[in-house]
Amino acid sequence: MTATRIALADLRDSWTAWLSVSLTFLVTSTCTALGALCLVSSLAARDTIGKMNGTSLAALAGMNTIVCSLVALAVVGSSTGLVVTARRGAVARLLLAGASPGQVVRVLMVQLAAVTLTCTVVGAALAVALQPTILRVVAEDRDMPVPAATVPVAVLAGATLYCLAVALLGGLRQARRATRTPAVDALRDASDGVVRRTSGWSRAGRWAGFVACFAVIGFMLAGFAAGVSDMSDSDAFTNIGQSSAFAIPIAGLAFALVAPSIAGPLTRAWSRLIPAPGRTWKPVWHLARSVVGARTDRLAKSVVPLMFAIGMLVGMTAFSDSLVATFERLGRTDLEGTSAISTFSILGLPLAIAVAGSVGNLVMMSRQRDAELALDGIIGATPAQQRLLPVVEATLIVGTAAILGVIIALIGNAALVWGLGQFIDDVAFSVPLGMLAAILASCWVVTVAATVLPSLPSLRRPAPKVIARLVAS
Amino acid sequence: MTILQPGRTRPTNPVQPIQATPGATGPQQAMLSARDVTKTYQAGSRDIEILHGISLEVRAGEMCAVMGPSGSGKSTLLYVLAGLEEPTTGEVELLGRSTGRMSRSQLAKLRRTEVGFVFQAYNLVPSLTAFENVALPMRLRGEKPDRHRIVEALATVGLADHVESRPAVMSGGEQQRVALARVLAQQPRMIFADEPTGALDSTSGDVVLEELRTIAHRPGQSVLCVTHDPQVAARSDRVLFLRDGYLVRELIAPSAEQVSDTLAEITEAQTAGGRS
Repeated sequence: MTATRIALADLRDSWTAWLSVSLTFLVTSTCTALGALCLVSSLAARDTIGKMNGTSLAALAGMNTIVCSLVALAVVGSSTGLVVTARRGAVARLLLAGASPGQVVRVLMVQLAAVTLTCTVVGAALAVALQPTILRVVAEDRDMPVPAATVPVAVLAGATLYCLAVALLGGLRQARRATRTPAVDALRDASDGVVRRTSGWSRAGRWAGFVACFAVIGFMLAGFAAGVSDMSDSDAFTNIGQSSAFAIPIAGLAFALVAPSIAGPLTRAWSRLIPAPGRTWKPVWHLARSVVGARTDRLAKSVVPLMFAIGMLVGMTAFSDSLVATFERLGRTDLEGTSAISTFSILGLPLAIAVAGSVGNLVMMSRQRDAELALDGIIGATPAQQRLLPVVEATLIVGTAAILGVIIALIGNAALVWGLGQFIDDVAFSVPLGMLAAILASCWVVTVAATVLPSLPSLRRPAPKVIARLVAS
Repeated sequence: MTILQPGRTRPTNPVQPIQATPGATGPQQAMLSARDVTKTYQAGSRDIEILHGISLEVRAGEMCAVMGPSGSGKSTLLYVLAGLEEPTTGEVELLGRSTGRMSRSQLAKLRRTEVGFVFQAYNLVPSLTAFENVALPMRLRGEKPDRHRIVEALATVGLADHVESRPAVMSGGEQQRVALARVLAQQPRMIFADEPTGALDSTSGDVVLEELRTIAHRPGQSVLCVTHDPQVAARSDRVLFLRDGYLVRELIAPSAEQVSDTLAEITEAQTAGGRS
């Protein structure tokens, strides 16, 4: 009862941080539930729309659900970690007031459960509302009869529970970690914005996970190679298409695991190559590089969702282009599902999760960024430099996410080209450079907006007040 | 206006707000002046006036302290005088320029060249090393940091071994000394310090105070310092006392006992005023 009362009071005080993470939870639960509902509806409609059509739509929805689940693991995990990290000051004050670590964990978990439950219930309702439209758009794109939307409560509950479990398990780990930091250190870390390094075991676990993800991709491809001689061309295309498509989010998950170790060095390495002329630009570029490079945890949590978004978009677009080019070389015209709607019907939901995660994480980090900008202003950064700093920070985030995103896209496409090469002699590989530029530009605009807009009100307030707000929180 | 002798209290009536003595410590040029400054905040639908018609002057070569009970408006006054907040009415002249007539960009350029700050907390950009934090004003000016000058400034405050340390691994006192090193390296004409020894042990506090006094007594430089510590105030050339947003007392080169007695009297008056 006490934990609930404290948790709800603290929740009211920190509603902005929770609002940002709510966006991620809401979109994740909507997309996961939507994928699951479309899967069940497609399977249930096989008698009315035809077995092939039903199975085809069910495969699409199933793939969406699996990819959503994989993306959700990384994105929701990082959002949950970030919101618990943002509450370190409050956690420390509770510990100093005499709360036991168990009580503090309960307070955080009650908060997380309240927010996640609300979001997942609203997300489930949105999924129910959106399902008929999604089914109609996808079916019409493929010239299929539109399946009837069904809403099995068990499926809806399963999807909701999955999202709830991912958020709560991620939160539990972070909450336990938060209570292990001595209260005084936590208070100082909260105002400094410092995230303590994870233990050697945790880092080793992350790298073991990285290797395991690539082992899974290797097993999938090895399984395909072993069985390809017994498959028809059509089955082989479907099989390698699905395996390669799955390789993209799995590779993304692998890089998400090691992002805290690699994002900082990677950012420092590539940004060193960019010249920074001009009296306004040069100091801002230098300062932003130092800040982003030092805050590896914040950087990793910003980069991961964006990396997924870029990797999946670039990967699947290159995927379609390579398949189309290969079919053209073979003189075949029976390739289906390469329209924009088809691509988005495969990618749209996980992409929405990744983008929502990215925006939510960036907005959640705004208070610390506001305080840093205020301090820069006190020391002598002009208003133009203060406005430019978050733009440059966003550019650095997008740059690093783009490099990692393109790597995971290349992994998926390399798997496709290798797999096609097992039964076709003349495989084409196409890189959609125009689309890549458009995707990067869109991601940059979204990231800049999510970084800059939350800071604008603080830039208009007196710097000491902005800093005092961070110290007080 | 009476020019006071060291150790003398300017005769004032605590109920009657005073105008701080211009040039009380000498005939040098005014580095900072405030005329009838008020500051009002909005709390819900109410306007709360924090500062009431403050007038003061800080001259070159002077270290001036502002004291007062908690909630008397000391920090607000410092921020207004430093151009970090705008006064609601009145005028502040910093280094001969009216802060109200300067754009935010001009104020920023003034801060990175001629004005330095030392606060009690959150002095440093957490993601930058001590060296980078000291170099920040130079970087913001688009200049290449003078490594020798920065390392020397850090050595002066006893942090020669912390050049590449980040604030997270430094104590509060060490962070405050890095802020002081930034001021030493920047060599600004006017320094604002908000509780500059608040987080320090007595040895570190002495280092900081001695450096501030040295800077203040150089030609063309001065220090305005907000403090609640009578020992700090007693090291200043002049002490101004605030009560409920009014400047109510002024001491010239006082002893720590004089400062303590005056502060106790003012605190009691503020508490009594609050009760009534």
